[in-house]
Amino acid sequence: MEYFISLFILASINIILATSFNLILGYGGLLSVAQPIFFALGAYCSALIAIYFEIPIFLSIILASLVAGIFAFGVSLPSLRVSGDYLVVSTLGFQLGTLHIINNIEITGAAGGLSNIPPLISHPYRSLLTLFIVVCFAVLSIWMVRKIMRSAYGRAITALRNDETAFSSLGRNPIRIKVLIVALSAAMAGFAGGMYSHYYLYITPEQFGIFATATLLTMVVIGGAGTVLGPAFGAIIITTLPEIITFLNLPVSIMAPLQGVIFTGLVLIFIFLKPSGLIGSTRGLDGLEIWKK
Amino acid sequence: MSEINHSLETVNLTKNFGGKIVANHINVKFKQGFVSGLIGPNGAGKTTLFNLISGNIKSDYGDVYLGGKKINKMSDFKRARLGIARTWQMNRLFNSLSLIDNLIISQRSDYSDKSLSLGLLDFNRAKKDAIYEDIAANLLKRVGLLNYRNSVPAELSYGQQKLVAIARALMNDGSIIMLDEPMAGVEGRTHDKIKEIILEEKTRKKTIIVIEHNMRFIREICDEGIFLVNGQIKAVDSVASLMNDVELTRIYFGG
Ligand SMILES: Nc1ncnc2c1ncn2[C@@H]1O[C@H](COP(=O)(O)OP(=O)(O)O)[C@@H](O)[C@H]1O
Ligand SMILES: [Mg+2]
Repeated sequence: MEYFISLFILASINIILATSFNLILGYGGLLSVAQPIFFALGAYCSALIAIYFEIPIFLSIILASLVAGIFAFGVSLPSLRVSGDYLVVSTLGFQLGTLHIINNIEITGAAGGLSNIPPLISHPYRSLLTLFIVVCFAVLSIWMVRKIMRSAYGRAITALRNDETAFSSLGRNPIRIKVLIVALSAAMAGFAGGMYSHYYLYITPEQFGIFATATLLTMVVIGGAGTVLGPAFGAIIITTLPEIITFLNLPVSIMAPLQGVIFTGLVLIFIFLKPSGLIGSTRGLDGLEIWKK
Repeated sequence: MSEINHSLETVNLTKNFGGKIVANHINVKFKQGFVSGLIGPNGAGKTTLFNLISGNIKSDYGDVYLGGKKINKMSDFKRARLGIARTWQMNRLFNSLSLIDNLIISQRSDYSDKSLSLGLLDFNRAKKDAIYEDIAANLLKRVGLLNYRNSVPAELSYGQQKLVAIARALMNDGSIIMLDEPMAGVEGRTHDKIKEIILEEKTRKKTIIVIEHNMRFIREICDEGIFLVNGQIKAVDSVASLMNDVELTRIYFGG
């Protein structure tokens, strides 16, 4: 039972992550690859704040998510001022650089990881309670993205994604929108990171590398980039699928490659057969959802 | 002082693209209530001049003045907010938005991108939209596309898309309107409609600049012609005189 609850907690955390990533990737059309590092910033900062300062854990999670948002703002602003194309480079650099730092300084536990993180909840039913909380926040994150996208702001994000040059020539400030959604998205990822570290109580740098980016990208793409619920479904599938395969009780020599094959296969199937992802929707010529109130 | 209000003016405006000079010390004054035709062979630098004025590209040298105020340090969106509106050779409509939303989002004081709450606290969009929705609907009516208000651009013909692009620029309702080849690929009723709209805007004392290859159209609606070759202004005159100039005609038709 504990095992399933733990799996659902991870799935819910991934729903927050995928939903936040979808805001910039699917809706904003911005390729930032560093979402896992904002997740890491949230996880590490919150853990360290909680270890070194006597403040409520939930407050440290909030502070850490602010840190992630502020870092995202600082990293994306210079590149977004030049051109959206630089975002992928600057975020990748930030991801690799930050991982390198985490891997090499003592306070984060270096490559060995950070353990003895104080739990958010110390109670016999801590898993069940945590599950309840993360599910609430997963729902909240979905609601937030939905609310943003259906507001006039979402209409502006949509126009910006369609044609940034036309958008700014009409008097709209594209940089401001891009930087703000990147920062909000990073803060959401940071929050997910905080929830993660105060439940699993142990984090290592290797969890937040390029492989994590690829996994997250898969969740968003197979679920449906630029749809409200798609990334959440993607997160559930990609989180639970490896566990389901584990249940088949195959020898490790088959299991490990099998997981790789299934993941790659899924991505290919969706790219070729259902490029819009699991969640169908009304789509314009650019393959993306048509904005509606 | 001249009695004509020179609402838009460039002084020695210069731009190189990798050593190739595409705007070469351009000095030009655009007059209020005037339709100026920007003509010249392909690659002459007409669109580049639009881009320099609207701020989509920055000049290497020289200045742009709007109503006597230097604006060439400003970004494109700030210039648009001052009332410089333009269209594009390739329309560049927002494909995921309905026509009405394409227009609503294009009014100068749109509040949406300024919201610090990213729309999360935006609980009365419909009410805020209402004024602009009326203006947008009126413009769609003016270009004859009100029936398509909820359609997306892809559902329209090319000519209809041109009309939407013009309507979107008019949504700005500023003093300057720049149209980049509005007539390219357009004929019949749409042709007449675009002509009618330009002349209406002229009577509303707008400063209108039109890049166009359709000479009949230029002759019919432009009060003056500005002839551009290799990033340089070769002549500014009435369209009739420009067309009678053997030398210019030779350059234009690449003889
Ligand atoms: N962004 C750019 N980068 C490099 N060269 C450009 C760019 N934009 C335009 N040019 C070049 O500048 C010249 C003028 O282009 P343009 O202003 O589009 O001409 P026109 O609109 O008169 O046909 C052309 O030779 C074109 O190739
Ligand atoms: Mg051109």
